Amino acid sequence: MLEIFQYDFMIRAFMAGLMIAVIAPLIGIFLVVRRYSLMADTLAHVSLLGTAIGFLTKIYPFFTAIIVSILAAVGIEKLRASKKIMGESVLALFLSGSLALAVVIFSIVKGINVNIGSYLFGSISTVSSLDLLFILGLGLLVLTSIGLLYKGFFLISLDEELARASGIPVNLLNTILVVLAGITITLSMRVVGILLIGALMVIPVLTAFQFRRSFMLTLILSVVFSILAVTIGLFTSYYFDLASGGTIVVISLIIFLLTNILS
Amino acid sequence: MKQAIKAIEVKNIEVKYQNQTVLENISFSINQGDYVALIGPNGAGKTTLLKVILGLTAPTSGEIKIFGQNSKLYKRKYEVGYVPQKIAQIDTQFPVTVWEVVASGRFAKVGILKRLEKKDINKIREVMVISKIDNLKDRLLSDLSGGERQRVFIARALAGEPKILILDEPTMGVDMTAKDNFFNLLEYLNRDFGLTIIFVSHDIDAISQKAKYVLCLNRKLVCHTLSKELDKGSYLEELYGDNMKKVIHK
Repeated sequence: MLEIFQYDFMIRAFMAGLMIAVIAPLIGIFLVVRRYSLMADTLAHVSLLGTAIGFLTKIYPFFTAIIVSILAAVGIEKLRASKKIMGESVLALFLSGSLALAVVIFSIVKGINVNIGSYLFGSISTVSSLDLLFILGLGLLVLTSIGLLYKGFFLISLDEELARASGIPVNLLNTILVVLAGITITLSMRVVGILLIGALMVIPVLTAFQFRRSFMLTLILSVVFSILAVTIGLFTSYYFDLASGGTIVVISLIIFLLTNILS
Repeated sequence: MKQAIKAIEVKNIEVKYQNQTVLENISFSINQGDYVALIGPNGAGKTTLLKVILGLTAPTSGEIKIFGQNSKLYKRKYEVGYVPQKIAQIDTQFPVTVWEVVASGRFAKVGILKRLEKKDINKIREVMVISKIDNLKDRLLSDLSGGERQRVFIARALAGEPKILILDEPTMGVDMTAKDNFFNLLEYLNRDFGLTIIFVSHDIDAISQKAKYVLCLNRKLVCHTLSKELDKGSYLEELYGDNMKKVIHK
């Protein structure tokens, strides 16, 4: 069964997958409790635009995707905080706008051999050493930031007004959270693809919610379910020759359904 | 005679939203250890006034001082504990225990980048005992009654060791027993800990019995008087209109 680890590309896939499995629900839980789940899908589409820009400008697409995601995340947060446009409408604006732009740019660069499918649905087996370095490095940055700022993220998630009244820098924390979400989503692009990353950020969290435990325990459980889904998903996709991104999300859904029935 | 320390000074506060005046030329001061009720009809600007004091709403003009310092420059904001009106509506899907909510009230004092130490944990335990919620510590917030939630959020405010406690309609949606227990707790905090308390309420009966002073607000400050003298003037008629009748519950 462990012959899977004979191949370097599968070792890279597992390392990338496990890092994403840890950071995706850690960010996802804060988006879910703040009723901001659509943010994941929006930033995923923004990442696609960043990738397209990378192909157009011949710059490493991962890099341009991260930059564009961070800029969009800050823009979304500023618009949301200004309350000039309703929260969900801001997300719709960015989601459809960036997808449209990405489609246009990809049509311009269609002469270049670009496999858009691998960005839409993920292609974890094609994760290069440079990609892995990027995923592990930035993944560690996301993990450290959550560890350091956990209390702040918890406070703004429980009640922004209460946090603000006690002198917590709410706007700064909101901005950092969406920037971390942007980075996480871009890193996850190769693992599950932009169309499925929202699921990886949300489903393990919803699974953990069903146990009705403390916030900290819910957070830990969501990471456990996410690691379980990615590990089983990668094994299943390898041995049954299935698309890895879709398989991971389907396994995640099966775990959700099982815990739902059991609880 | 020892001069009282001014906990809050409100000077010529005016708040306008889209050219509509919500608060007009409000000035008063509250001494440390005062127990003050803020009353007024719906739309009188009570919540706005509290939010201006808390620094959540910027006034169009005027100044707020907290312990003699301009509120914008007052760094230890956690010393002004706040229990908002909407607690009863807090998201019930949020998986959070009573302990986590109360402990979060300590975060601003300790600093969000620092760990809670043993003395912080002891303080959190102590405020839970004071608020009589120590038996609920592992329960989910969503499983509690309205009265219990109010106590949890008071404990949360107390965890930051505040000098001032501001409560916006704290007894809204709680039953009579919970309301009595709640006012007993406030009285205890004011009497035994010297906490300065300001609360918004529509319960004139409770106000006249519990609070020492009353601020009457209807966009302008109608009165700032001892609660026992609330009946003597025409303040209530001025606030609520001539048809207002007071019924005493005994």
